[in-house]
Amino acid sequence: MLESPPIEDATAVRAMDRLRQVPNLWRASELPALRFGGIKSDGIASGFAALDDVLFDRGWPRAGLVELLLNDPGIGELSLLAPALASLSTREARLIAWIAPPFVPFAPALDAAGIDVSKMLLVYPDNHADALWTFEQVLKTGACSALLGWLAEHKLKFAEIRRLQFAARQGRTWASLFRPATAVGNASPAELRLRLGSRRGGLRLDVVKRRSGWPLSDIELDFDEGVTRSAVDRSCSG
Amino acid sequence: MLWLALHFPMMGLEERLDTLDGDVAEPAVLLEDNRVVLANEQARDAEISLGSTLATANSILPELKHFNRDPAAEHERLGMLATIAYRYTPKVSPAPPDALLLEVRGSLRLFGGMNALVDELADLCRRLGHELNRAVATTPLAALMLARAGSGGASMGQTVAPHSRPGREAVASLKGVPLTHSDLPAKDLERLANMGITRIDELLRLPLRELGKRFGPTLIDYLARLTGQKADPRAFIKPPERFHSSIHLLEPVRGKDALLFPMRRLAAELARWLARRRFGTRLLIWTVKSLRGPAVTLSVEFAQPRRDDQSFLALSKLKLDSADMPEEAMSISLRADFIAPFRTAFADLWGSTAGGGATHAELVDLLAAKIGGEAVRGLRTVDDHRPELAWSTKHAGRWGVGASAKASGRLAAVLGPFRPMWLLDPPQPIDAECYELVSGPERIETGWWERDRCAAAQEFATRTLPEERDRCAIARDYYVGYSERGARCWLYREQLEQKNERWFLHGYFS
Repeated sequence: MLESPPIEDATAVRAMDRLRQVPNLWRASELPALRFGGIKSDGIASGFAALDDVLFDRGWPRAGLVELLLNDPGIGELSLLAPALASLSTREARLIAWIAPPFVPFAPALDAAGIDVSKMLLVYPDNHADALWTFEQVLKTGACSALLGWLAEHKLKFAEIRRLQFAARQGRTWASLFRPATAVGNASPAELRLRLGSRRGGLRLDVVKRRSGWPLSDIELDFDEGVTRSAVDRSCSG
Repeated sequence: MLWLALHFPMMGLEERLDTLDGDVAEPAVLLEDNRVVLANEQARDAEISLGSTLATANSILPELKHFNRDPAAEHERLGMLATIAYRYTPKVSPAPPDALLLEVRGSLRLFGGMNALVDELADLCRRLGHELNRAVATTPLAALMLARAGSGGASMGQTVAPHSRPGREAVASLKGVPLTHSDLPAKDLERLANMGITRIDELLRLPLRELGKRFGPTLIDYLARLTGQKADPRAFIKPPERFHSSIHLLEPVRGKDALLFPMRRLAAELARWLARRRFGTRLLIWTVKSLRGPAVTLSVEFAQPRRDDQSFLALSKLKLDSADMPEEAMSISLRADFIAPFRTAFADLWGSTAGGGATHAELVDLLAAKIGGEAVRGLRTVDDHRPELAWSTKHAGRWGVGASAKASGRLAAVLGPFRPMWLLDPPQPIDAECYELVSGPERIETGWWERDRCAAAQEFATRTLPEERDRCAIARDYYVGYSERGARCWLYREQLEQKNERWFLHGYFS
C-alpha cells in the first residue's frame, strides 16, 4: 500500500490557491454573496424579512421538507406560514394539503388571511402507516403546492423522513412537518429545521439546520407587521 | 348504402364449446330434437352428417361431444357480437339467428378501405373463436344471402362500386346463389324446386306479376327488398347504457393477489367499452361472491370521469388492500355507474400546471381509495355568525376541491372580526385562572330564531344530540387571552341560566 507523504502547510496552501483558480469552484462561505449577486432566488417569500434573510432560497423552499419543532400548539405556527400559504393558494392551481391536523383549520380565519379555502385538502388517515403513505403520495404526485403534516412522533423513523424529503423534492412541494421540540437533538434529513418558541405578539425562531449556513438562534418575528395586523387592531378596538 | 353481412355458421356450437374449458379440438355436434344440426370440422371429418340422430353419430364416434341447442344463449351471443361490431360502425343490425348486418359506407375511410376493415373484423371474430363468412352487397338481404352462401369472400369489395345503383349490382352479384340461402319459407322453396327453380337468378328472371299470383305478396316483397327496388329499413342496435360484466371462476380463488387477474380483465373490458362510447365513469362497483357467506362489494369512486383501465385497476387495488375479502372467491363482477361524457384532461401549452403533476381529482381519488372517501375532505366557509357553523368540510371527491376561487379574503381581513386559525371542535372546558385575558369580551349571541325548534327538540331528548342543542342557540362572551405556555387563545364564557358560568377554550390564534 502506498503511503501518502505528509503534506506540508505551504503545499496545502498552494493546492488551495490552485483550486480557487478553477472558475466553477467556490467556497461555501461565498455562496450567499453569489446568490444575492444576480442568481434569482427560488423560494416562497415567507412574508417576514427577518426570516427570508437567513434562508437559502430567500424564503421557504419550493421543493423540500421543512421541520417545525414546537411543543405547544397555537403559539403562532400558522401565522408563520400564512403569508406564504396565501400567495401559493392564490397564485398556483395546486392544492394545499393538511394531513392529520390536530385541530380544525378555521375556514373564516384562513379566508381572512388571504388563503383560498377551496384549495385546502384535509386528510385524516387512521394510523401511522396510512399517514406516511398519504404524506408520500401527496408529495410525489405533485398535485399540491404545500403540505402541512403531523405524524406520530414516537413511530417516526429517520428513513421515513428521508423518504418524505425525497418525495417533496420529486413532486416540487413545500412540505412542513410539525414535530415536538424534543426532536431537535435527532438528526434529520430535512432541508430546513426551525424551532418555534412563544413570544408576545410574534414568534421566536431558532434555525436548527439550514442549507449553506450555520444554525442561528433567537430570530424574532412580529406578527403585527404581517398579515394579521389589521385584524389585531380591529379586535383591540372592538 | 353498403352492407357487410357477417354470418357465423357455427355459432350455436361455438357458443356451447365456450362454456367448456380446455381443448376444443375434439369432435362435437349440436343437437336439435335429437338430430345433428351443426358439426364441427373434426366431426365432419369422421363422416358425421347433418340430420343424423345422436345414436348414429355416437356409433360412428363414441367420444363425440354433444350439446343441445340453447336459443337464448345464442341470442345473447349474437347481441355480444353486435356490441363488438359496434366499434366499426354505429349501424349494426342483428339478423337472427346467426348473422349481423353492418352498414359500413361511413366507416371505410376511417379503417382504410373495405378490405382492411373486413380483415380486422374477421381477425377479431377468429380470436373470439367464431368461424365467419362475410359478404358485401348494396342491399342487406343480398349481403346476407351471399354471406350464407359463403361466396362473398372472393368477389368482395371489388365488384361493388361505391356509387352504383343498388338494384343492378345486387342482382349481378347474386348470380348462381342457391335459393336455400334465402329467407324464403320452406314451403315456397319446395314449390319453386318442383318448378325446377333452385337458383336466385332463375327466380328473378320470372315475371313478377305471375309470381305474385302464385306465391302471394310476401315473395314479391322479399324480391323487391333483395334487389333494392324497395327500401329495407333496419333496426340498429343501441349499446347498453350501463356496463355490467362478470367472470365466473372455474375454481375458487384464494387471496387478494389472485383476484387481480380477473379484475384486470374486467377493467380492460370496461375501458374498451367506455372508449367505444366516448364515455367515462365516476363509480366502479366490484362484487365478489364466494360459496359461503355474503357477497362483498367494493366501490371505487372518482372525482372526475375516467376511462383508463390502469387507473381503474390501481385504485381498485388500493381499495382491495384495505377491504375484508372472502377466503375463496367464486365469481367477480364489475358494474360501472354514473357514466358521463369523458373529456380528456389537457395541460396548458407550457405544462405549467405543477410540473407534470397529477390533477386534483387524481390525487383525491388515490387518497380516497386507500384511506376512505370520508377521510379526504375539502374545506369551505359558511355564512354563519356562530363559529361552529361558519365552516364545513365535505367529501372532497364529490365536492370538487380547488373548484371555486372566491376571492373574498382581503375584504374579510379588513371588515371581519378577528378569528383564530385553529378551532377546537368541540370546545374544551378549561380553568379560567390559568389564562391571562388581554381583550374582550365579544358577545356572540345568536341562533335565537332556532330556539323554539331546539326547545321542542329537547322534549324528545333521545332524538337530539347534545351538541346539536348547543349549536342551536348560543350566548357566549369571547375573550382573547394568553395561556401559561404563551399561546394566544380564544376563550369564551358561557352564560348559563343557573348563574354559574363555564369557561371554554375554543381556538388558538396561532
